[in-house]
Amino acid sequence: MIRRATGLIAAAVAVPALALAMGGAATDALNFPGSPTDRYLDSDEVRAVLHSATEGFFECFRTHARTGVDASDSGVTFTVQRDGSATDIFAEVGSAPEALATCLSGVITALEFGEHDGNPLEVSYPLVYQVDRQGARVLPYPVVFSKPDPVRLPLLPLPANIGPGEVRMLELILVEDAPPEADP
Amino acid sequence: MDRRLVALVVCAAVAASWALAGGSADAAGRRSVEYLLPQDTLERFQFEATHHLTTELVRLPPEADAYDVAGLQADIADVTTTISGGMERFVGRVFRDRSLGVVSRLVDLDATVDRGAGPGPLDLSDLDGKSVSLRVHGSGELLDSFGWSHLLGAGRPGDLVVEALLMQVFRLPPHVAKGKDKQATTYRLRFSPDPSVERNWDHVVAFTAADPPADCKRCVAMDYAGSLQEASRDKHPARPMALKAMGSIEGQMVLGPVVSAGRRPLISNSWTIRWDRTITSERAGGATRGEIKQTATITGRFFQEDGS
Repeated sequence: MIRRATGLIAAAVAVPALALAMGGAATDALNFPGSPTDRYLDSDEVRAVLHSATEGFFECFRTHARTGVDASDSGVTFTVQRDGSATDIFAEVGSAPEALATCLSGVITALEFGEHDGNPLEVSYPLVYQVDRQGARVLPYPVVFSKPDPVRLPLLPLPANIGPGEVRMLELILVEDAPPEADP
Repeated sequence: MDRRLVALVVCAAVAASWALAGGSADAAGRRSVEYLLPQDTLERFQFEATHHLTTELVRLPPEADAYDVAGLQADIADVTTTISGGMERFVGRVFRDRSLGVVSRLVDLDATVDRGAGPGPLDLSDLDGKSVSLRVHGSGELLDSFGWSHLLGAGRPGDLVVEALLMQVFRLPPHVAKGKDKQATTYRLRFSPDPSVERNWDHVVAFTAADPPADCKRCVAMDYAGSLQEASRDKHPARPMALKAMGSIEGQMVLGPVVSAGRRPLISNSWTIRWDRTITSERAGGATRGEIKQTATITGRFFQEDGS
């Protein structure tokens, strides 16, 4: 009887402890991708959407590029607006036919990146079309390139209308090492 | 015998749950006042604030000799900024510990800036529409926050809205102050403008009873006053900086009638915060490179859109 009671008490202690430990799970982060409290888009989320379109990109290459060589320098650049739509789409297709660029742009236009509260996000994504003995395919590129917008001097509250030149000057004075002098 | 054991187990379970949940007043239900943070509702608030910031470049390294420091000093020496706007707020998530993920979005902002020659317009289009997510208990206890890195930093106007975003859930005392009773709270408020930076604001605040507006039936009002302290450090290797500050806070909050289980909506919160800050940048060995002293006086008000 005592052993059973001890077991029950141990369980009573362990279950809330487990629940508490789970409170630190990644899904509990406010910025967990896709959660309603994640109001900002990051490059990982953009990458997930682009990877979901790999089949669409492949269809474009299969239709408009005869070999992997003529489409070897392919990629798309675009801007994700706050409403989740892609604008300013540009497809670089190397020596492949222009129809490939049009097709790739169409794939990007159809994508939905989700509403966000951040600044429009400029994105660049390489497209790797590979033709070999295993056949033709588009390899999902592991990285999406976006323009960084770092927080500058976060411990120095400054007037809101300070110019970018003045911010740069403060960075150079307070934290940055002078650039090395060029050799004569 | 069996009944006694069952009772023992039940007691142990309750005690363990309470203790492991942090033993907080929230979890134990000892708190008699909390914010009403309604779910499935988009709340609309207004806020306004005036920031008076003085900045003095006290100690500059030799690197400064190459620049027009006098011009920079003149530009930032004494600046007053006013801001007003709306805040849309909704509960986006309910966490397992019953804390809430509250999203607050800034809208319709308007601002002026005065460097001594009279107020001029300040463009806040970069700030309009930005949001911050706060994970809070009903008491206002801030567990986590996200989004600051999109607002804050030199060259961005986010500093103008930090107080409004935080004071909308200013930590409540355990009970509404009544009569000559004083309700005291002591806590550290943390938020991160950047993964390398944690701002720590230590609060020691006492609440006393105040008179609610005559037209606000069954509302309660509390004055509050106390001291603030900050010791924060930028751990980014490329910008080693530290901020130490002493300050004070005072204000008044009005809470609406109880809706359920001690939960009251925030009708308004007015505050004055004063800071004396010393910001230093450091060299690799830890020696001080530059030192800046600032005073900041921030008066503001956050209130329901249809509130007084």
